[in-house]
Amino acid sequence: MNPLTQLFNKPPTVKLVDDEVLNMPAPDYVVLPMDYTQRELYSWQVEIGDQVRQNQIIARNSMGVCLHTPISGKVFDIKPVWSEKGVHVPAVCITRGAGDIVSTDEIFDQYGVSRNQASFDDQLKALGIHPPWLPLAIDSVTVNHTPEVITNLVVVGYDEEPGIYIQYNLLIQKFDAVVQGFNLLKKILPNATQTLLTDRQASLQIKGQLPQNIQLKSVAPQYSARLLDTNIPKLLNIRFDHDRDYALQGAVVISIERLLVLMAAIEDSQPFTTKHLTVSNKAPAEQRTIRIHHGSSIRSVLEFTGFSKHKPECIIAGGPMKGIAQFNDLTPLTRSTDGIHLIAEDQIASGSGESCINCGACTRNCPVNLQIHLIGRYVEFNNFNSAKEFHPELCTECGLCSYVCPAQRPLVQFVKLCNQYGNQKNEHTPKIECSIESPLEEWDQHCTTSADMGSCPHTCH
Amino acid sequence: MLPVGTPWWLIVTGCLLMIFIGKKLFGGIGAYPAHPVMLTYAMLHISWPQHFDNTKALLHFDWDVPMIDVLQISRTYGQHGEALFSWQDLLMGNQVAAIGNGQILFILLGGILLLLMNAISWHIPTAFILGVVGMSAILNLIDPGLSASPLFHLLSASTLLGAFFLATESTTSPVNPIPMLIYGLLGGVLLVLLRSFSSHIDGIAFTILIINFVAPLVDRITPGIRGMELETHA
Ligand code: SF4
Repeated sequence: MNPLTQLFNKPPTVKLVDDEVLNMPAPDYVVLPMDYTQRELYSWQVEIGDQVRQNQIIARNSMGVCLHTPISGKVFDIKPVWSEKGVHVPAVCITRGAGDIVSTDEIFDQYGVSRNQASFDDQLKALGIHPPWLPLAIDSVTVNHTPEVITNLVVVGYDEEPGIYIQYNLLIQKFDAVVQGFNLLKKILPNATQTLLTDRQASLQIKGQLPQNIQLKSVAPQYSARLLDTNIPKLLNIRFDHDRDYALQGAVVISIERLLVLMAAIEDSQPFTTKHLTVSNKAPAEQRTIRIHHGSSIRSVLEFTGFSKHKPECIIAGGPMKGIAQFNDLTPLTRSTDGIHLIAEDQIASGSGESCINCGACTRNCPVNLQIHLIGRYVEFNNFNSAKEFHPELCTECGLCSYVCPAQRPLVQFVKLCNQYGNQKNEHTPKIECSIESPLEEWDQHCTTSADMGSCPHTCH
Repeated sequence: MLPVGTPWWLIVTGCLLMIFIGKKLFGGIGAYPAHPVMLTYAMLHISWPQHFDNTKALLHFDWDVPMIDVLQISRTYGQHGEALFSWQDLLMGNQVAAIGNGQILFILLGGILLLLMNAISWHIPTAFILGVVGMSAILNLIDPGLSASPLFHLLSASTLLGAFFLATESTTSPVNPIPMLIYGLLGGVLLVLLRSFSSHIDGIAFTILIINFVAPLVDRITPGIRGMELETHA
């Protein structure tokens, strides 16, 4: 693109707030991965062939947080699938069938404690929610880590990725509910000062409507100013925490969406089985925010929203910057997916990996101040030990370096490669020729329509 | 950068040297340690010095300007030589310099365009110009007969070409802000020193080569990595 014309061109404006968030109906089948971001590992409590009912607990992790099925039906398989993070994880596959909804009391029965005796944290865990004031890892929970030690509550009212507008939509459309959520959390976290972090546009819209006790902070519109990994520590005046385990540092950081989920669980005892996500297309720019059931496949979402008409060549789960390209469109969408980004064939940047011209754009744009131009070169020539000296492990994978690189080098991928292979004493090319063979592809071959899924005679293990 | 009337074989030799020794021998674009153009210029300059005399090249011409290389004048007469030129003359290119070096106004416009298009960052040109102004002011204060005023140095011969187009070459310059400032400053100071005391009239090629080799060294001054504190913390 010609930089001179860029000087005068304004980016196209897209309509950000949908008139209403569409609810996607329950899909014909769901695939529920047992692993989220490789941190929450679930063990399943159902067998192949079991009949399950909507909202039934089917799995539980080491912290006791449960996973519920969003539809009633039959467990037709338990097998490894590709998750949207690009890793192979076990998953429970359920086809839709008859069955009523499990009542709240039954959920607690399944969980193993009666509702009246369960502690507040346990109630949330039974409903599938990790209490945000608890650290993520079980071994860092100490006895005196009570909600009282939390001194800061930050509700994030914007999505850092460009093209995702979940929090913005929810903030504008459900503003009263958000304020209620703040009041509710005031009771749970009595010592916390409350802050709402939004972008400028939203803060102009809601200015003056917020109660006095909630501080409103806004961030600049550029992507580099929106990165949560750097904004939150700056706001709270705490260390830059790479694990984002803010609970250990006395802070709760949740998004508006999680706040609403938390409220639904506390007030209506609703288990956490749905997720908002923004489907967006690169060109022509178009986006739509919808609500889906956990475990719906990308294909079903695209068909429902009508975005399959764009004939995407590349599907990215997450946003355009931090998102991960998918092997195929049967990948299940989970609690951690905020968006789907579609790119047509003629829009794909080639990423051809020309040699570095040492322009330094990557390094000057890095929010963590890494020397990306050096790390990239070292990794390119398999010199992992030298690359390690520049601390690639502190990368937040925001993707800015790859975005600005005029030579279109895959810099984030270099850093990731370094972090994964750098520890091995490996002076040669690492073995990364993994077979890109999705187990779901077998479904493609044997079960061409999703209606066949339940009765597929082939055992695709 | 070559004088008027350079023989054709010198240009062909220069092209070959630049492509094969300057670029390809080191691994192509992005891998060379020194600016290929400057490297070639320096090689030609040392090999055939008789073809690099701007004054001699214009022996048979007569235009309405002092027909001696501007730098030669300032070198011989210091500030007193300056009286021959008004700064407008210099800006409009009414001076004897190598091809392309003397068109100060257009070089300035081109440099500003590069800045606007974000092709280069402001650090290196600014520091380079500051270096030239500072160093020439010092020399001028010490002995006006030895060195011309800062304005003259700025507007004559290859100063601005070096500041905007040569020193900013990305492969051979540092990438972090503070190293860029040091690099530019060093370039400016060195240019004036070479002009005043070396045996070459215009030291731009050697200036750029020397700061190119300093670039990786100064580039070790990096901003602290965010999150590094955690290591001591954990
Ligand atoms: S942005 Fe690309 S070309 Fe520029 S220094 Fe970084 S890796 Fe090299």
